[in-house]
Amino acid sequence: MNVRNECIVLILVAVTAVAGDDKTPGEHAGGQKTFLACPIVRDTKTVPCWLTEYQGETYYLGIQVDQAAAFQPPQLLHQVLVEGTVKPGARICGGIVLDPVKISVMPELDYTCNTMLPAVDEYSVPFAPRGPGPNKAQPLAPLRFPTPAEPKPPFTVREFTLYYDFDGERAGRMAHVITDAMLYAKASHAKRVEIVGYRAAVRLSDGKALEEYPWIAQHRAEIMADTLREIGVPGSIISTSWKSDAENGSGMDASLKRRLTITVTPE
Amino acid sequence: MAHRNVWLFALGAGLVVALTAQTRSPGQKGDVAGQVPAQHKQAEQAPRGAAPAITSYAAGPEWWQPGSGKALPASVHYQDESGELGVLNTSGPIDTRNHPFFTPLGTNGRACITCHQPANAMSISVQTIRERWTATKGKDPLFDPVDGSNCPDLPQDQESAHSLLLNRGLIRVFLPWPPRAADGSAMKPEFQIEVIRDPTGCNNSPKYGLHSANPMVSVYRRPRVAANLKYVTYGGGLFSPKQLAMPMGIDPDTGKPVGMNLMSDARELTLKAQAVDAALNHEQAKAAPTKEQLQKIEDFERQIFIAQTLDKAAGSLEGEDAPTELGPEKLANESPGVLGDNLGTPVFGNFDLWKKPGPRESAAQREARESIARGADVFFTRPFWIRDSQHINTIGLGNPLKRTCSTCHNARMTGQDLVSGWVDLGTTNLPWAGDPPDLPLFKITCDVTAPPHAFLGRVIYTHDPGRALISGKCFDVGTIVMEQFRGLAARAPYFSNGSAQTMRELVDFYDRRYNIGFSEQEKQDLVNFLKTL
Repeated sequence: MNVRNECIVLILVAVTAVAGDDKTPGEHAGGQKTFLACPIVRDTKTVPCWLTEYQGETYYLGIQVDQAAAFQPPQLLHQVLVEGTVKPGARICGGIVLDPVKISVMPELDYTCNTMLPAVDEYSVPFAPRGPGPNKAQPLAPLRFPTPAEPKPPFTVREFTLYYDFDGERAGRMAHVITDAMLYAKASHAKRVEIVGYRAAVRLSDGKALEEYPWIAQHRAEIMADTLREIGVPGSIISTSWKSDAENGSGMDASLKRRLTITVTPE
Repeated sequence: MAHRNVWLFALGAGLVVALTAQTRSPGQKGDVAGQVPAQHKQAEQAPRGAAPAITSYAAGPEWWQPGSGKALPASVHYQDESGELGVLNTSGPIDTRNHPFFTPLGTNGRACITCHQPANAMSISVQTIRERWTATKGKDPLFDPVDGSNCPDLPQDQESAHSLLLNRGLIRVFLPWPPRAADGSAMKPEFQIEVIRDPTGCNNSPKYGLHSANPMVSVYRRPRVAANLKYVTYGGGLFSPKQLAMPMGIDPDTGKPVGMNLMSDARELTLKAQAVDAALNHEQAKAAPTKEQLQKIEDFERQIFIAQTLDKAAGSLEGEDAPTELGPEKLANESPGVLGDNLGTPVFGNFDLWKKPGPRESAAQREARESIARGADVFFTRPFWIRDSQHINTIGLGNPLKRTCSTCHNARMTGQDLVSGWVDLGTTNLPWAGDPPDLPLFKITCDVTAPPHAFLGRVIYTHDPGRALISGKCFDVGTIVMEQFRGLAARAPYFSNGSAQTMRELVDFYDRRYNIGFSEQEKQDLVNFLKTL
């Protein structure tokens, strides 16, 4: 079930309202592209390329590497929110390069997103640091972040911020920030740990607005509270809050609105 | 393409504040996991079988009778279908008299050893189970009503009441619904569960089922290998690198994170907690084992290593003429926690030695060794598209992922996932699991606000929800912790629900599931390789 169907009546209002203040509909400044589309996987003789199509053009997102790589590929059967900047220069795997690029795999299933293209001689990725087989020696990076150093006094009120994928409940690549917050709370004998979850909207290149799930700020905050309790922060000092109204953002900075803050107040 | 709807207005506004001190996560307090008290209540309700006296029935030379008091040698070998299994006890011979692993702790005559037989790689094979049925006319405590039958309220003297154990090697695992938090309180799951088909009668049983006074879901699973456990229990970082910033469980004894690879659903974080669960539920003990007993069980489990030592066709799997990482001694000597998906520390070592002729080998031996070495290469280097698998294709590697078997089976020496290895391969979820009529079938309907299973959505049909029965998470439905690869030849059938009766069926499942396109030669080579582990 597509949970967003219930709000279909709001679509036209949204499109009209957002498009109205867009001076250049369909294009952000600086060759920036923000759009929802199906990912496409293009096989090569080594590892696959990840592409997508938008308004008749093909864009290159990245290649399969490893979990520790900067680019984490999308998933077939899911649309992807692409937030990227066009990089001048040669195409890769037939696509205009978006770099930097941030992608968010949309949680809902979309069975139409299922395009796999075969390897052809025309496209190759000689720059791939790892092929489809085992690594040459060791993994690209450790699976875990190193244990941070014990925080030292003086202790002041400190805020930790985590950023999320669109509609994401867990900041998967920012676990080290959670560890930092926990260690700081413990070392400073915190009297208060305040968690605030936020929710965001992003303006797409076609002028439409895309909002996160209405419940996402609450979920982010509650999951973080559980997480901090599980790793040793006393539940009695944790307070949880969330802002259900979506903060608007556009361009590459829009992803910074999808966030959560942990404020640690020392004893 | 289905277009995503867009919203203009937030449905709520302002700041909402809540204070919640209570944990809402599964886990354990001390040595007792949150679900155990409810399970124990059901175990207490279930009748006990007419446990025979120890000497009532002749036991085969390989069957280890609970309470027999035999000594376990430091090293012992058992024949199996492909050669020989070695069991190494690194602390030397053990006097098993009154040892809590070998002695019944409860009221039904079972001990840990009942389902963790040395001859079966510290698990138990269907062949052994059938032999016990025949030898004891179904009276062995193995067939106890509580979980050695399809349901305790069935007529226990009939073979049909034990069909899942006799045919698939499955023990009934009864788990409270809703799931329990670490402190035993009920958690709010993200999904509803309906019983669509109940061939065992246990999920709809008014006494033992989902709608009983003590609501319980019954699933049926293989006993896991109680050996090589320093690898299985290895714990690394504070957070799972897979389940998106999920904290790993903490061992209350050490204060350190655990690996969450114990049991099919990782519901017990430590060996001691697992022993408490087993004693109270499988052995129907009135009370948990003492601290001293728990320590003795853990010590024993940590000193037992099993692996194949002989292949009938290829010869010895230990010594100078064999690849270096085979046999139980090597397992005992290596360190856990090493990632094996690389050429520096390959999962099961290097089999190149057997790619070229060796001294004193026969033609048949040469042929077998070449096949095994090719099989090792298939496992380690043959790419295919891994796709639509929850907790594999959802962890930042992409869907599909062009990789090899060793990408997921990446823990050096065992072939488990290094940490928190519950994944949905399709062994329990439809459509890939098929629809065998002897297994229960559940319909899972997830809340609209829950993150869905990435590839099955919010309505899922499954024979076993796996980890989701513990976590309550929609995206965990049908995920099962990978089992280690050692001693495979001694403990058929395979997968948590015994759906692969042979290693060839196991390989065929993967070939079908991921559309790999193995050649007949590759399949046979892979099977021959797996038999040597």
